[in-house]
Amino acid sequence: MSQKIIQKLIKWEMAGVILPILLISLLLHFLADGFLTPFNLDSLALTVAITSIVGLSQLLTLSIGQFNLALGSMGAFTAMLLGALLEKYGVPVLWAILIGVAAGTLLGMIQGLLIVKTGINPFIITLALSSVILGIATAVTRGEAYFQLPETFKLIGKLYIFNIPLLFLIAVFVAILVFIIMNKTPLGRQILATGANAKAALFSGINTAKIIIIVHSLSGALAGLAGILQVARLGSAQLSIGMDWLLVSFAAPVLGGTLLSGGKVTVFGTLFGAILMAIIINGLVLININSFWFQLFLGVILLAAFEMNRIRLRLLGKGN
Amino acid sequence: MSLPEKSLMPTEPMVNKVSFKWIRNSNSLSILGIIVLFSLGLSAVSKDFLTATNLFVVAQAFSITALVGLAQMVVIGSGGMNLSVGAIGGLVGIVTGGLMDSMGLPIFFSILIGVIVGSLCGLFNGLIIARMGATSVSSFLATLATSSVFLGLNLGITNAQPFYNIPASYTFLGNGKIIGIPVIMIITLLIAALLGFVFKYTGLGRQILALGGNLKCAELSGILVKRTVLITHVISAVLASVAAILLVARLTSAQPDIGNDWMLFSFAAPLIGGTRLMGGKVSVSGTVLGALLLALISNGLVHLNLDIYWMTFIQGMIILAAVSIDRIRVVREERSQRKQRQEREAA
Repeated sequence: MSQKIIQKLIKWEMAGVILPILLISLLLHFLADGFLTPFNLDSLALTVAITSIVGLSQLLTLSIGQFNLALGSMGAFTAMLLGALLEKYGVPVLWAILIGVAAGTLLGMIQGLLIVKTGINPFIITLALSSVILGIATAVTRGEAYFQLPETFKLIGKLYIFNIPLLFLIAVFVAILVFIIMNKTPLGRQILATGANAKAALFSGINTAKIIIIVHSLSGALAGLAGILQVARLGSAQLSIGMDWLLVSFAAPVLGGTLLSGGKVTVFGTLFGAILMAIIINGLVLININSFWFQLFLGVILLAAFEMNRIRLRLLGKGN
Repeated sequence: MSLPEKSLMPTEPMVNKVSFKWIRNSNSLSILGIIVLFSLGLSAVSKDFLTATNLFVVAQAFSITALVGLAQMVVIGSGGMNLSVGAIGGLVGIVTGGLMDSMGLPIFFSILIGVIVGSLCGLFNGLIIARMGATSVSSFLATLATSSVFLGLNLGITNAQPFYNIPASYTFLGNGKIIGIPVIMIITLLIAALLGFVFKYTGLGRQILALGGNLKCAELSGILVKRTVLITHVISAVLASVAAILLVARLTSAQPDIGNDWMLFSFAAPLIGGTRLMGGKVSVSGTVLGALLLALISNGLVHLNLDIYWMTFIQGMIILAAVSIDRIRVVREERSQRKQRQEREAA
């Protein structure tokens, strides 16, 4: 009986994001010109790719009931490091990407270590670190961008496999990887247990400190990867990368059905959450709304996501 | 802060030790010490530091920082946080400036409408937070979303274009002096004093702090949580609005990007000043002194010819230093409490 209720809820929560996607797509197809053109769909797919990886980076920290406010700065730091490695030091593309992801992981690990070892409120640590990390990137590059990137690297942003952008495939691959970690491995179960009730997890023998450090490292790795992919998409490494990630990093998982209180995540929901957001913003472009208003819509979308989260919590409360 | 009253009771020989401990534990005094040392150091290194012009610039920067810090402090005291102080400031600055520039409205009404718009933003914040359960997490998420809404309104109205046509009598608020004292500083200190009064002597102040101390206990002891959350966020928004109104007067133009960089120091000023991040304990004088220290530091960096590109990094490190000091103090307090308990049990 309880399984049936749970199944119903799972179906409902995916419906909460998939139905609006279908509805808005239909509306846009009939009301606006150019929604289903290959050009528009490609640009949508590229946006979704970056947004969903950023959302998954936040999803990891949400799963232990914490935030990563520094993910934008981590993305910017990695992007600038990558740019420097490729342009200034002529490091081979593959090595540069690996070093970039490693750097993101290291930043996340430092963040996790600070949270665990100092006992200072995680919120303020990630807030301060976001400024420290971006500050280092700004000071070292002196605010300048890297434009002379090798063609092989820029190709990553332009490559198609079976007519699907490579970046989008990478995002799907990352989502599958995160899904497997969270749902099929002991590590994932320990992460979710820590998020649901840290004290209970500690008492049942889980090394919660280690889990927190691992989660922040993974979150940093994904933020770094998103930064690298953004560089590939733009064709240049700029400090502005990651500046507008914070809001969408929360909106994508929450729209997809991740509970803000921790202990429950929906990895593919995050992908759909990113799609929903991208389609809404795309729709605003197609119906010629002044782009200065987009910020307002993003805020409203996030508020709507919270309202959905509230309703879902209430339903879960009834379900239990 | 409750140490001196208790500890001063014992016999004479204790007094010396106690008063030293009191200074060490008193946040405001130790910050004041740092401020004095820092200023002495700066005036020794740079000839331009102790000039009237420079001190005036410091006073202006200090005033804005203090008001923004107080706006954050009020909400932190209630156990929440307000990420939208900057976005509210930006919107209010634009509304006030826009009313004077394109509508030609009198100064008084422009300011009044600006403050009303700000309070409505605060009310909106409070309503959403109360709906989401009035916890610290909900205030973070709600104000993250609303800051995007307010910034969106700001950009949508202005198309990111500033208003330059600001009446000269209005700019007096930001750049004028009365008997040699900057008007902007007089206004700030008056507001700080009023806020200090609210927290020290009124039921409202106690209710806000009770909410931050323990939400459930506060609710059970009959405090109207929703109402208090609403009032807290309206006060915070009004303080942010005043900061923006004064900043417009100081810049002599209403820029849409006002408030963009407020978030970090809005937390830094109260945290340096000994406000507890978890809520329940605030210090108005500490926040004001914290703001003064921040203003002096950024002014000092200019005089020391420090690379401007390191500014963001240094701001982050200042916050880390402030919370680390606070953390050390908490740990030490807990340790001494535990020791006292053990001694009592042993006896």
